Amino acid sequence: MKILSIFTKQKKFEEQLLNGEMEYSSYYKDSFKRLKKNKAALFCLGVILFLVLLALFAPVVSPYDPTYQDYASVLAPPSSKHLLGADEYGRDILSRLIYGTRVSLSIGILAQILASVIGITLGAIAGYFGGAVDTLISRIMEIFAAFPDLLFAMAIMTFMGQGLQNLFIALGLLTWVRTARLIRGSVMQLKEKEYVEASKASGGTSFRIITKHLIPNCLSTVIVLVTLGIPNAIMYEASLSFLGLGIQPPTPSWGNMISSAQSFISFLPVYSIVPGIAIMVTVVAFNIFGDGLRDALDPKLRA
Amino acid sequence: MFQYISKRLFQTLLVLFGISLITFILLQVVPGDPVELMLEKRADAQTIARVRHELGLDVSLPQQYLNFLKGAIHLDFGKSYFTKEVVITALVRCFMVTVKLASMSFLFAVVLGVACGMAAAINRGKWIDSVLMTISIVGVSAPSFWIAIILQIIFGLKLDLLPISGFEGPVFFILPSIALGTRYAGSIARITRTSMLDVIKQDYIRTARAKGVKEGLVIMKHALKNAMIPIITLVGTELGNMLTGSMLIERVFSIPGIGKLAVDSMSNRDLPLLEGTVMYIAFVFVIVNLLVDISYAFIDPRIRYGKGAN
Amino acid sequence: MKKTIKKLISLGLAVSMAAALSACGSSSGPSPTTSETTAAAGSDAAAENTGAKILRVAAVDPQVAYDMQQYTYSLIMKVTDNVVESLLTTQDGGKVVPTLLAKEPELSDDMLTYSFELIDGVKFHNGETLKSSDVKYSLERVVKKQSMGSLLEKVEGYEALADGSANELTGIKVIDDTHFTITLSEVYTPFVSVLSTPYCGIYPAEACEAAGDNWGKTELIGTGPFKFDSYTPGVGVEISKFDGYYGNVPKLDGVSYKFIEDANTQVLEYQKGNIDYVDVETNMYPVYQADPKLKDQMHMFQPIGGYYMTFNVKSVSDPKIRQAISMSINRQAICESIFHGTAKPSSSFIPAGIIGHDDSLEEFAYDPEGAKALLAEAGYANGYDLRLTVNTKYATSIPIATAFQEQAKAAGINVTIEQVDSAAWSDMRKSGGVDAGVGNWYVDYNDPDSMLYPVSDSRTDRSSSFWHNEEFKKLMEAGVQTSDEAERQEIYVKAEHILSREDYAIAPIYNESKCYLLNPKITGLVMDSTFRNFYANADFQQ
Repeated sequence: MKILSIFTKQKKFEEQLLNGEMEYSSYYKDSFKRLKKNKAALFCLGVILFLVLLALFAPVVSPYDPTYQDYASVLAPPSSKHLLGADEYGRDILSRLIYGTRVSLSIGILAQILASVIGITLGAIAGYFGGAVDTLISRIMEIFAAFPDLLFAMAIMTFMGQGLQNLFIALGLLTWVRTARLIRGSVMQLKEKEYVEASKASGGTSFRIITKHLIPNCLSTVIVLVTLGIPNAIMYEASLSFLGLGIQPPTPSWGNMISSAQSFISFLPVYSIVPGIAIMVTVVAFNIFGDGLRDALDPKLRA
Repeated sequence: MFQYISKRLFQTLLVLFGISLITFILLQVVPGDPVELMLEKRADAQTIARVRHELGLDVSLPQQYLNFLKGAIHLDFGKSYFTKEVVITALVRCFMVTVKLASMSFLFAVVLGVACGMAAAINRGKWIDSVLMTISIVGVSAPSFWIAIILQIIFGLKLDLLPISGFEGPVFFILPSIALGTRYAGSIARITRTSMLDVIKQDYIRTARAKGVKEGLVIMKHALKNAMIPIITLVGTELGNMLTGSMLIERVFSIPGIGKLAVDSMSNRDLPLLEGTVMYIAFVFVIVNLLVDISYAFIDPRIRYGKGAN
Repeated sequence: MKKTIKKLISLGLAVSMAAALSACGSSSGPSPTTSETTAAAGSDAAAENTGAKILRVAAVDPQVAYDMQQYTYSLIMKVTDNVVESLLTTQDGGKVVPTLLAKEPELSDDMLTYSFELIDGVKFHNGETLKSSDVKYSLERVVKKQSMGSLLEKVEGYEALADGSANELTGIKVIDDTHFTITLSEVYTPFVSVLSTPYCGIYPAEACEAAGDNWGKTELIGTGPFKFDSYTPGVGVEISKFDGYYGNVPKLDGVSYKFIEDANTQVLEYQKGNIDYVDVETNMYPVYQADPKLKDQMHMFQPIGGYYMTFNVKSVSDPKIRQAISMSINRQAICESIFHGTAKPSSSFIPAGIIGHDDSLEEFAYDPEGAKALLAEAGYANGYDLRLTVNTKYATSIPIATAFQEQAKAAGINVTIEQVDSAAWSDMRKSGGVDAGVGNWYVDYNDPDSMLYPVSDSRTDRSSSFWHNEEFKKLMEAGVQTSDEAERQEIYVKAEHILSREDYAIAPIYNESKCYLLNPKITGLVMDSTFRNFYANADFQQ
């Protein structure tokens, strides 16, 4: 599934990175030009920006406090008072949906940032030093990759307790391997390049070589990986919430909304359908934008 | 090649060992004690000590892990703390259920995914292409348990066409297979389309066309055959994913497969059962990856595995 | 080499295809009791097509043996209540009546020795006749299995058996096959009630001993109206009527318990007509009330017990704070809005229906301002932070916590909800890691001693409460040694006052109604306050 499609993308990226070090300024300029031509990706970028704004201005746009319990409106159907109805505590579903954007986006982004930090660090170390260090890190990566995802997340969440921070730590720990693999591969190939050799010869430290030369070369790849990883994290959040291991109440997230709406699906269908659609729209937007970004950063991959 | 495979198999053993150790450590650090859970209501310290002894939990942690390893080498993971069922028996029992769900979802995903991907590729740029690709990306993006709940309500209850839960016969697996397979079908469709387009552009297809071979035939004969390479690799991994069970789908549809076993053993802190399940899942994952890697070499002769390759 | 791989891959594909085909072609697994193609809408698809009267009950796989002496979950009792019997049974209203006994037990003048006489010729499902020695064996087993062993701690010789220095319960003396006596080490008034609990069910000694670990899994034998046919993990349990039952043989041919993990799926299956009995969560009440078809199929009963908030008196040490917390729970709103009027706000921990309940007590008022004032007195004028732990196993504790969290804001109490699973919950309770928790408790037998068990002096150190009160402890001791009801009432009213109105060791929240949906074609199946699942009188109305 996702992981593999990214994996195949990675292979192509590695090849691409192999084919030469690019001139960054013009490289990104060209990429941006290409991206501008991709209408679908631009539209999705618009959707993402809209979601980000919604998350930032949630207190302004929400009609109600998302945790305010209006006991007179328990399970009320959509009306002018509650546009999307009210949940089993009489809380406004629309407001919870809007605040849920915050949770879903921040989990997606923070988990990916964490995954990238771990992945880049370990991947670069493994790729640059090779030998025993590489073997050790590679085995760790294999173990993490083979460990059942949700089970691992369950264990982490049970260990650290539920909550937003713990959730993105768990999801970050779950997804760093992909990044690490890719960075390791790229670094292994790049370090043979002349300019790295030159830097070594002129006495550059390993740290300097890695951070100044190797990582910047992998940056575009990381950007794409992060973009495509966000929807995955959002899905994981939903799955974990469904298993009762999400964020603690009363914070709304789309995942825990779907989960608690399940009981009321035939009574108040909108309660379950709306957060489901929110997840879908967000995931679609990130996926298409991520694809577009990948195509733009690597013209050879356009299909 | 033989050397490569044996090296990989050796690495697999290392990975499995690492995974068993991590599982063991995780269960030690995660709050919760199976014995306390078992005797929740009225037990006193004395009883707890006795049960701990019976389960072999009264020795030091390294010793406990060694005892576990001793058995695991002979594929003897012991008995579940709670059900007292032999772990291997439980795994086989759940595997038999999961394999049915997996094969049906797999069939659903591959047939639907390849068909849609081909149709989209043939009609590239036309409305059919856009519609199919939109559907497939929506399929990839919808949470499977959410689809499951909606399918249950619509087809199980409102239309009363299909069973809501259970696993007694093939008909019971239809809704779960759709719920589980939708995501996979979506990504297979996308990959199929992409790789078909790659192949269609290539010279020999143009040659075939120039020779006057009918369009449809060209696609069937040449393009699909060559486009199968990435599809098969994708499909291989997905079969692996399905064989490890789906915790969410199994829960919604009350299917006692590997996924349920994993969740239950985790929530019971049932070490032998959890170790067995995790090792099984990891084993399937590693083996499928190995097969996929080998198939790369087989499909694309440029990829060679030997000394130095990783 | 290449060829071999090609073969391998095609073999792999062939295997997976074959698996797929076999999954499509064979209809393996047990065939359902009723035809799954029953197209009848609603819940009127009874087992009419097979002729056999099988009651289909939605259940959850307990994943442990169906042995209530070892595992005390209510899901175990759903089955064992129909298979295994105790010497006596507690009826709705609290009256204890003999079941396996020919007459009521007789108590000696020193109030320490009970004499029993078994009904002659009661058969176990395996054909063996019930003997006094089976009773002795079973009760000793309760102590040895020990998850409920302390129920019998007042029986002479309990200590020695429990710590392993003896292998029999010396207080139980077999006189002959149908006569035996039980001697207590001290007066314990509710003892007969204790014997009526499902945990003191009677097993046949030899068969049970021979079965070992398989008891409750492949084999479970009792004297009950139904015999245990099979337990299939992940699938269900089948029991069928026992023709040799000494009482009225059940009208049903059997009961089929179907394991359905997800509560929502259980109800969907009921609505589809594949299930005749399903328990439902009370916060779903309006969903069924709104459905004209389900409305009349929903029934309720009030188990004796309820939900309450527990406090760790080490971390929430000032009774004023505990009182303030209690005052900031809007019990009325929780009962009326979250549980749609199915629950009643508690005015005491000891619920109505048992000795010690005080009708005259006023409801706990929701008074956030008063709570604020109390907190200020306790030194928390600027607000108080409370970590409230809930066990996700009890689905209703989450709505309680969520509602309370919002209500407590008005009193300046900032609540963090910590959701943990059962294993973590029991671990945290043992280690004292719960500051405040949502708990629930139902009596094991109709006596205040059973109700107060979780707050009793010997328990509080193990439930993260650490509450000890000399006077309360003395009252509890006096309570079980007094036989006069009026006197006991007075004792327990006092104890209650100390517990929930003086020390605020706990804060009672509400007494709930439990709901279930029942196929309207079924008669004679009523759940009542005893919370026992007796299906012996159930029948399909034709």
